[in-house]
Parts: sequence; C-alpha cells; structure tokens
Amino acid sequence: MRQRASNTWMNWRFLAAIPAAAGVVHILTTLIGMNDTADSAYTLLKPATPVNKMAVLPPIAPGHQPLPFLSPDARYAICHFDTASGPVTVNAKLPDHGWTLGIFNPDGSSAYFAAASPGRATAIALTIVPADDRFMGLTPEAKGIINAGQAPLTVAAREGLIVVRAPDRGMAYRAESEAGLAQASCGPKSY
Amino acid sequence: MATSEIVEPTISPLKSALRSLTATVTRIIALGLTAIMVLTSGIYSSRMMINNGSRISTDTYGPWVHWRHAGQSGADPYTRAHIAKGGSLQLSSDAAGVFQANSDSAGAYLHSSCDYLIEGPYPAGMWWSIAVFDKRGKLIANDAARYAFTSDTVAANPDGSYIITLGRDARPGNWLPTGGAGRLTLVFTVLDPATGLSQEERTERHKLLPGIRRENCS
Repeated sequence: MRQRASNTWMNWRFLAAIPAAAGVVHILTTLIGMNDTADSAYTLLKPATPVNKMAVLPPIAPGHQPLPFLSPDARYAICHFDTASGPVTVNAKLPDHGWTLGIFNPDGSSAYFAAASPGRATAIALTIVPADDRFMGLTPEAKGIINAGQAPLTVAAREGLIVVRAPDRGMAYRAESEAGLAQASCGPKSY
Repeated sequence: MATSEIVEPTISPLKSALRSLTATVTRIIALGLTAIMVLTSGIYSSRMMINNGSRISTDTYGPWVHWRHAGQSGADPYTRAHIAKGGSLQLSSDAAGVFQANSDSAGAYLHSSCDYLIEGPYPAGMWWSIAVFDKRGKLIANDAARYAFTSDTVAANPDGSYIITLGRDARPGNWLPTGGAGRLTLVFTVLDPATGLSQEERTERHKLLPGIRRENCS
C-alpha cells in the first residue's frame, strides 16, 4: 500500500515536471532567438554598406529591397558604424515632418531616435562612443580641452546602423529628398 | 489433520527477464515521447509568440497587430527576438506606430486572388503610409510601380478620409496592384507628432487605423 502511494506520488511529480520542463525550453528558445542576429537587418546590410560612411540607397523597389518589409514609402541613407577605432560623429538635417533618424543596435533595437517637427528643420549632431570604457577619459573633452562648437549628443553603442529616412512626398519632391539625404554624414570623429 | 498449502505460480527466469525488458523499453519510449512533447511544446510556443505576438508583446485592433515595444531598448524578449529574427528595421514605437495586417476585418487571410477596399479616417496632422507586401515581406512587382501610398501621395476625399483598393486589375483612384503574390501583408505606419503623444493619445491612435473589406474573389 505504501509502495503504491509512493508510486502515485512519483507520477504526479513527474507529470508536474513536464510543463515546467516545457517552460524552461520555451525560455531558452526565446533567449536564443533574442540573441540570434543571423537574419537581423544589421547582418543583412553589413556586407553591402561601407563602414563609417553614409550611403544613400536607391529607391526601394522589387529587386532593390535589401530588407523584408522595408517600405517604399521613403528613401533611406544608411551608415554602418563601428566604434572599434574611436568615436563616430553623425550629422543630419531633418527638414520636415516625416523625416527621421534612428540608430539601431545589431539586434535591431533602437539606441536613439529623432523625428522632425512639421515645417521646421531639425539639425542632428551626435557622437557615438563605444559602449564599453575603452575610451573613457581619453577624449579631448575628458582631458579638459574645450570644444569650440556646440556639444553634440552622445550615444553609447559599439556597432550598428544609422538610418536617415526621408518620406516619399511624390515625384515633385524626390530630388529634394535625395539632396537632403546626401547631406547626411557619419565618420570617425576628428579632434 | 489436513494442511492446505498455497502454491505460488512459478515464473521461469526467461519470462521474468522478458517482462523486465518490456518494462524498461516501455519506460524508455515513454520518456522519449515525453522529451519530444516537452521540446516541441516549448519550442513551438516560443516560436508562435515570437512570430505572431501575444498579449504580452502585441496589441490587436481588428486585423491590425502592433508590437507595443518595437525598437525600444527595454523591449520584452519576444519583441526583441521578433525584430532580430525578422530582419526589418522597425521605427521605434516611442515615435511611430507600425501596424501589420495579414487578414481582412472579417478575419480571412488577405490573398491576391481577392479585391479589397481599405477605408481610413483623416489622421489630422500625422504622416502615415500604407504598403503592401507578400507574406515574406517582399514588394509585389507591377508595371505601375505602385507599392505604397502615404498621406502625401494618396488622393484623399474632400473630408480628408481616403479609400485605397487592393487588387489584380487596374482601377481608377488609389489602386495598389497585388497580382500573383499569394498571401498578402499590409503595413500601416503612422508617425507621432514631433511633440510626442501622451499615453491616452497613443491608446486612441488605433481609431485612425483603416478597415479592410473584402469585395470579391476569383
């Protein structure tokens, strides 16, 4: 009788372990998926874009669509940045509503995002510094050298993508949008 | 005085060994099946929540699905995995609403063999766009080179509302061609005003979402 009760209890314990084990597998699969950047936008665009240089993409169309669900409702300028050899500066002017600038980490999460105000140009000046402390205290500003210009915003990220997006406002505005995108820049910070 | 004896049935050693072997094999099969069940349910539920979303990570408004924390640094693991796996560059949900629909307002999958009517209200002062893709996120090639409409390019009604048609055959007005694509996905993007939106305004934003009505199928 005692043996039978013990066996029954063991079965219940075993049955309870099944959903718990499935839960552990669920969590592990999700964590692996979260860190799996093999198909991320960064991995797909990295080979096609120069490092620390802004490139204006051709209009998005079938055959010229570097990413899934990349909408043809906008033109894009993309910079693949890498701060391994030092901070990277980003300059862009967002002339009107609908223009955005985003800095994306390799996993697609956003490190920084800015959108223009309607009818008013928004100037963006950013410095992307390495996310770790390799450059801590080594920049001229940290050494006390005064920066003559306006202090730019600082974003910490190791590598990723800078995306300037110009909305499609119709044929009449396409040249203007392209010219605006061409003015956006990114490159190693010079002191 | 007669004594009664209980005679125990004798089991041959071979039978005993067979029984033991059968029990062991049964146990191994049961454990194997359990392990397969555990792995399948764990992996499948995770994949479903990453690919399609759930109440934890998405809001659903009729046919439109919105990943609540897309592009945010503090996003939940399902959203982060969805973005990493999907290969798309999502606008941050702090500054834009990106809504995706794979079905019409009645719940039937969007398919290129059907014609659809997309009707939306006037989103005052907001920039929006609607684009059509196949189910893998590829644009649908067409001679008219039409893949999307925006608040700047759509021909709106006098009251600011708009009607967009999806279909294989050319139509006057705001027509998006879908010929031969199979299953379709619509993406509606609306940028928040530069001043941002309050939480209440953000929850009200879904009222701007257009309805998707199936007209006919062939």
